[in-house]
Amino acid sequence: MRHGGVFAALLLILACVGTSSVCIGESSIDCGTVLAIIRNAVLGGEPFWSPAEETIVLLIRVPRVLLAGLVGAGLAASGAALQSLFRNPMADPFILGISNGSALGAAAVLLSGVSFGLGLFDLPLAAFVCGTLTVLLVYELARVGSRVSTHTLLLSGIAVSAFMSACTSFLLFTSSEDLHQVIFWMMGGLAGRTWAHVYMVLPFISAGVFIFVAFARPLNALMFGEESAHYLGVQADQLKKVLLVVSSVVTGAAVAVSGIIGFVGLIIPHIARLLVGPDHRVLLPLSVCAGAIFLIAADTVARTVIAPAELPIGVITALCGAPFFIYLLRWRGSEA
Amino acid sequence: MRSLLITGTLLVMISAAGCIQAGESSLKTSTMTDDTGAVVEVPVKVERIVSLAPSETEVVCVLGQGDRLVGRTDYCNFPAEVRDIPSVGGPKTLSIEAIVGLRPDLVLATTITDTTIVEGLRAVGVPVLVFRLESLDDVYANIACVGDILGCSDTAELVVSGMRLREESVRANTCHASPVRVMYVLWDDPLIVAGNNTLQNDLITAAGGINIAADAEGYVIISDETVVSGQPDVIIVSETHAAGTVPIKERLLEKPTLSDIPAVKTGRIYTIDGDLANRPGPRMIETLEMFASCMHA
Amino acid sequence: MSVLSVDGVTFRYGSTAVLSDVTFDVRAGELVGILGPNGCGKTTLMRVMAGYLRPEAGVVSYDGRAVNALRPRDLARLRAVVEQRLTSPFEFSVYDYVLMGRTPYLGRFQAETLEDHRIAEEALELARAVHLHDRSIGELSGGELQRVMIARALAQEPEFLLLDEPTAHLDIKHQLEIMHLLKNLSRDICVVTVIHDVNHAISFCDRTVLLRDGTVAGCGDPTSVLSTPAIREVFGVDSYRLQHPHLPQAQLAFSIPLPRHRERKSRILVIGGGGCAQAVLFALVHAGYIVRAGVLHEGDRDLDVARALGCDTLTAPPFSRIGSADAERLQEWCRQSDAIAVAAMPVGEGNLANLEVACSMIGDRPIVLFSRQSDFRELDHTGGRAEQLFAALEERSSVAATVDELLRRLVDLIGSGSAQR
Repeated sequence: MRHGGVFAALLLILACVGTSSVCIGESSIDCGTVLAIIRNAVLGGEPFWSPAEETIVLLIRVPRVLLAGLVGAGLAASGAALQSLFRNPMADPFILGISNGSALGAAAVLLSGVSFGLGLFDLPLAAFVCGTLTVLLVYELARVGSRVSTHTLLLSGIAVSAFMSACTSFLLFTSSEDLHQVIFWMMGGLAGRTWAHVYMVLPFISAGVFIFVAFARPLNALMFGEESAHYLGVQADQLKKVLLVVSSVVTGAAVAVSGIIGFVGLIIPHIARLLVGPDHRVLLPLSVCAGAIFLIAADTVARTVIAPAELPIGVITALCGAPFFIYLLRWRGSEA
Repeated sequence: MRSLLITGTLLVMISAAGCIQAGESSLKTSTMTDDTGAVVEVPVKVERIVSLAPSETEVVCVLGQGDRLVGRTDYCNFPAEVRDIPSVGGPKTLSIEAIVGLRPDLVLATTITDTTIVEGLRAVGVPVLVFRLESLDDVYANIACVGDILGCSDTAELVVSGMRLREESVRANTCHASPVRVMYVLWDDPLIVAGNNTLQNDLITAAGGINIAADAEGYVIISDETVVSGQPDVIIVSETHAAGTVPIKERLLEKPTLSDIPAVKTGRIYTIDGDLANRPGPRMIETLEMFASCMHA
Repeated sequence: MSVLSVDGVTFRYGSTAVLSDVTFDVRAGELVGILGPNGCGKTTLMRVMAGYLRPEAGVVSYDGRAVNALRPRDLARLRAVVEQRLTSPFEFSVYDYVLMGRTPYLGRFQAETLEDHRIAEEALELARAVHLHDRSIGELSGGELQRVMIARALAQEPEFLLLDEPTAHLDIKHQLEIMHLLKNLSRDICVVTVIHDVNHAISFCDRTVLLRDGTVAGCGDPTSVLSTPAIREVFGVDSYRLQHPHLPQAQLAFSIPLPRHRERKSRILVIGGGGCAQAVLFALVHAGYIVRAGVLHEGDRDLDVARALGCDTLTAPPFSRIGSADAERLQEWCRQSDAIAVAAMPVGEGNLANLEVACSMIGDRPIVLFSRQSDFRELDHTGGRAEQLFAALEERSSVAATVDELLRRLVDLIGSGSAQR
């Protein structure tokens, strides 16, 4: 397989970043102990550490690293798929208004005090449902007969997004309640995420990524337009629907547990494309790896740089992502 | 001829305006510098006050000058009689027009108040005093200052010395106890707690405790890891009647990551009304006593 | 036998009918060109044929199987389409792009086999694009891109290849290369191409379908479908058939028809030859005169032009001497005319009679001599006789050096001659 080297390198980096992220944290627990705790959890053994250390590693850091990886992978894969679907390099997972839709859902639930009786999971559920409903609305608005033009889809996405965002602002503005949760949620972050969140998004994101990869070849064909894809025997309409549904679900799941984390879905696919070219059979798995690496690293920085306080992760993703992206662009540019 | 008429009219209008200004500025003022460093001309005789913070409303009332209050915010709910005073909006919906319409001699605000409102009021000539309230001493100074302005410094002194007495008694009762590790929680998801340079940090310290989030500045989001490694013995939660369907305390108890910390294991999670605990007014001292009783129960 | 048949196809965008009742078929081993003016529905027809657009009525079928009944994958193994343009926001390598042609043969998680690679390489070779193998799509020139697109289509191993204006935006050499390529391909598979260049259609296509406002205006052998009247009707231009010994087929040259200002009833007889009267004939016909020409030898350019313009002509066999009978007919025609226009032409023994007749009309009919020069010696191949006759004409009739001047002289001599209606 071509690009096998890049793949191996990225997997290695992913392993390293993941491991070191578990070892790094506010409370200093040395790497050996951390690894022993993890080994112990799997294989059993005699603990020589405090219960607090075990809690920190097993219940706080490990799920958080896994969740960062999942969210990063999901957002990057969705971004890659949507950029090709819309044949627009500026597309990202939030292009169809899923972020503003879920933000409205989150704000509405918080401000109205409605409960689904799920405690911690009321908000993720509301965000997920509203986000996917928004995409559905955008799709219905753009649909003429059985066909949906990507241009109309983009435009109706922008319009609905703006509308949702206005609704959220209105709610936030007129409400007399405490809003830090909504605001934090809109900035995105993984603070306080637990195993329950991991279990919650794992099926959605892993199934979604699997489906993306399964549709890699048709996606390649779609990059030259729906007509061109049709001539290669790809049913563009059907493919579009599948991709929209899958990317909405994946993004919705990611947003539900982490809020709106920008930049990952936009630049990771570009970086991956610069590394291995636009073939989705390589690009998608690579984006998944790179997205996971990037978000794990960003989250590690977010929780350690001004510890014990947490930085919003979106700040890190933009601060690190943008210059790196520009560097890659220029590096590639000078090579050509 | 016509232009002459217009010029004449304008002249009359300008001189009239000048007269009004001259009339106002003839009122005596004294120059003060507020906690943000702004220089404010405060009238010597203040009859109409608008308060833009619940704590300031309480301060004015505790000095017995509640009848001079002509405006308050939606959040000013104590003492009960202030509810009859017209409100000028919530924290994000304050209306400069409504405030100016009340013709205040002085507007009282805190650093929490939207600065655009403060600047807007100053731009139209309304004096605004902004107080920074991050410790008990700040609160005492605030009461004394307002007392000076309202010409009731004696009452203010009385109030402050009463408060100091209660503070001393709390300190005296708790200084010999072993230090208690405390976390003050405003919200659970994300976990927002009081760090250094907050009123609650000051209260925790005064009541003989150690704030586990004292390394962070202000009100901050911290990770569960900080909590676990901080091992708080006591968690104090401020509950506003606001959002959320399940009380914050319940949700904290649900968190698997926190199940091993002393406060959770011993069930020492206490809930205090947010209106009391987060309001740097005269009732702060009651909060301090509550903190002390929670921490040394 | 592979047959693509288009049967009664009607298609509309919204309420605008784009194609109505289009019927024709294409057989294996044929290169078929679809021609027509802009907006006549060529590209739409191509899309309907390819199964991308669904016709409102009618059926497109491949080997008797209706296109809508075929699964997209099966259809993509049967026919390939080369679109007009290729756009992608992201850069693919040429080989990867061509390999994409194997999409209809591969399963979801199936990697390309050696066979697929062999077919892609072969397609590149067939399209003469092997040297582009590792280049990036975005950096190709128009001609290279076209070859690569054709290569991808060939990688689909189609029995039918549909192309939409494959020569658009290409320079002449690349146009011809692409047309040769299509011609070669058409030996094995059906090739249908939308084409703008009428001469390419004549030179390369076995059959052409001429579209006009979404209907078939002609279908069959290119030379007969693309007749002067048909081109005039469909494209609204005049066409002139030109033959060059190097080319197997006559080529067409075109001109926008000059507006006929008004009909005149004046009759003008034009005497010329050797191609010298072409401009005069054009000008007079387009000025609305009733024009006759004589005596012209077969094979003379002037005769071709006169015929193409629909003038009555007197003719003589090639290189023959104009006999007295023809001279008399000419004289008769001269008398029936309101004026005579003589285009100064080379004169030899064969056509001296023309000049003699013209001179005999001096004083009888108004004569205008059209000549760009005043020295007639060069035109004289009769040992001085023609020169004398030209001199007489120059002296005793009007002389015009340009076509405009000729038209003015005629108006001076016989009036504007507008038709009375």
